[in-house]
Amino acid sequence: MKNLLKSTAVLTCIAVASVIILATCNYFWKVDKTIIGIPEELRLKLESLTESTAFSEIDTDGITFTGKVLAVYRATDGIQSGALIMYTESEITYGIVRMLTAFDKTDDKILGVCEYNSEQKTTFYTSHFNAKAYAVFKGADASVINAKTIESADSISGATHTAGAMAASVSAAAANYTANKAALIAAPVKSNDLLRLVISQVLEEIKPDILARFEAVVKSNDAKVVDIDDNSKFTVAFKVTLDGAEVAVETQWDSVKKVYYIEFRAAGGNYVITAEAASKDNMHKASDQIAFEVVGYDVKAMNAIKSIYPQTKEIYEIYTDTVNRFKYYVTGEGNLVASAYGIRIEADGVGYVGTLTAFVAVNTANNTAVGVGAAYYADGNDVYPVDNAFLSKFKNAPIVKSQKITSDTMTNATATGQMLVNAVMKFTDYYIDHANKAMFDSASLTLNERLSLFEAGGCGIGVKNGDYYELLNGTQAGPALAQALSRLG
Amino acid sequence: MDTEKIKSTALNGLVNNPIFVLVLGTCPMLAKTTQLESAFWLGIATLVVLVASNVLISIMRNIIPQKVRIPCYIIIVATLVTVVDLFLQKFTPAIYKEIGAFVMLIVVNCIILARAESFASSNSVGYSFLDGLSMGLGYLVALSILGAIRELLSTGCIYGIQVLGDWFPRFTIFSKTAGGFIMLGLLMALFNYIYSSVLNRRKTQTKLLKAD
Repeated sequence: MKNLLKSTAVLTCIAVASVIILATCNYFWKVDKTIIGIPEELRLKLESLTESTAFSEIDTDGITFTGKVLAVYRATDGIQSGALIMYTESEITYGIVRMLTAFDKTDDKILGVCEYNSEQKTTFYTSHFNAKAYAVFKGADASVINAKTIESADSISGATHTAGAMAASVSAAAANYTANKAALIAAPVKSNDLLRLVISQVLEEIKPDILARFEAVVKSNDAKVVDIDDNSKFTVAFKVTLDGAEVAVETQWDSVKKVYYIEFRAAGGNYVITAEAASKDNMHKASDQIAFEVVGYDVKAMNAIKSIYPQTKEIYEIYTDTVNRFKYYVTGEGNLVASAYGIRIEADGVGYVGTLTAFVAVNTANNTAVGVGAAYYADGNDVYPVDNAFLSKFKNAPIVKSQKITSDTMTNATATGQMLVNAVMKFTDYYIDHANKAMFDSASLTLNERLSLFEAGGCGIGVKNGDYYELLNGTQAGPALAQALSRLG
Repeated sequence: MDTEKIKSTALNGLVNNPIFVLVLGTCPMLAKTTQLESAFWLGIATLVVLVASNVLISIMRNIIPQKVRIPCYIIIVATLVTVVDLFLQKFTPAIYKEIGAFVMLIVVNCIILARAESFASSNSVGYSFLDGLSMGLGYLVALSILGAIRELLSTGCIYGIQVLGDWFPRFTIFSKTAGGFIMLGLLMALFNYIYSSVLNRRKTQTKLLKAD
């Protein structure tokens, strides 16, 4: 029994030690065999220049080259791992020569040079494409390449023009290598069409006032460079922007469906979703982007409110008074904006040309206007908008009954300007006469606090949906809303 | 240290050459001695594994129970072979491409287990190291000689470098397994002839010394 236990213990110890040793070796000496996608012909040429057998094209975005550098490859295995191979092109009067030049990053010497391919414009000089004086550059220092050297060395074919073009290509490769060495070494692996983003939900159905759940599927293409299905080897980061500004998102990985879910509040505007995948060693990167616009949303109202609160990213229409033709909006930051909508614009001699909606935000601390924005709705004819300078006249203006502002003499949009003044005046009268000030007193609330208040007030506007509140449009809940808000005030 | 034992251990790779005398490890020998380069690197890989396994097994010889010694040896050898395999894969991919499959087969190379069982398990670390080195070098030299001759006869090159001109007829049979067997047989005969000649000469010298 004792012997049996001893045998088991020794065997186990040896096995465990073996596992540790192998795991360590595998970690440090792991060979990345996932790089595929370089054509066989090119790979063989690259192999002939170095002692490596695996290569990857690197992403040269952001690196400025002089001359024609078609691509840059990096050796990824062997003792020359990290060697850079420049793929350059030179033109001569009767054709094009494309060269591959390999550089050893440790001493900046040229490991090898070869012609990848060439195109001839005429058959007259066929023999001139026989230049083979690659050996001239082998072992040369990248910083001291003399383009003329190769011409005299090409005694085999006497193809001086071709040799000159080859020399120019190698010189360009050397110059670009020397100038960009650090950036090229640090550059990630290039990947074309590596990731594919799919938004499964029909975009037209995305409303600004509901929580949108996107299903973004990240997949690799046929030229598989990375095993994206194995989430443990990769990280995928999503960035969502709305009109250029970043939106907070929550990401979840579904290991069964191999799908990422991204979750965020949807609002109107132009969205760009960027997915960036990176291997754990950060050497392989890939990204893809999808852009779309959320429709079914009053972008004009959004822009008008943005002119008052520039930081606004989302707005919610929370209350409509159809009798007096007023609406209330709340922004994502919790700011309350009132609007007088459907103000008809009629120009002399032209008749009815459209409608206008004025947006007013009030600072209840001193009863002044935070600002006024305007949205114009044409109906068959152009509506001339008032100048921003005209709108700025309302900024910090005291909220007084029958407020009058001078017409817009700057842009000469006199009819529109007048209608805007009328709309603001309508609002100020409504605001003062109906003692609706309580609605604005809660202006410092956050969006969720404001929505909670609606729910607590029982006005039925805010409906809790998970962690968020889903809002219903156009509810006739004015009194209840006012009552709820006044409780806060 | 016993000088005589050191000498005999150091010469073990020659006297008991794994290929020409013991005829061990012939499978990779036949497959990978078509060229000097692959033969040499396979010999190096085997040498490293042999030395390391001999040393490790010798260190652990008093810990490993008799009944489970073979599984223990196999685990140790397999680990070492995998380490060598990973190393070659990482740092010498071109060579690995040539001999990769046969590197893993070193695990079942008879020489390794034979030296572990017959020598390392009953000798000190120093002797075991020397034995591994000697036997490994013997295997390496034998493979290299076979590889060089077979490559030369079948292609006119040695280590990929053209040695014989176009005038030389290429005996492609030596790049085949049959040619490998023929060459092995010829070299074994030559080796044993030389070895027995040396032994006979020594015996004669000894007799003469005694007569004096």
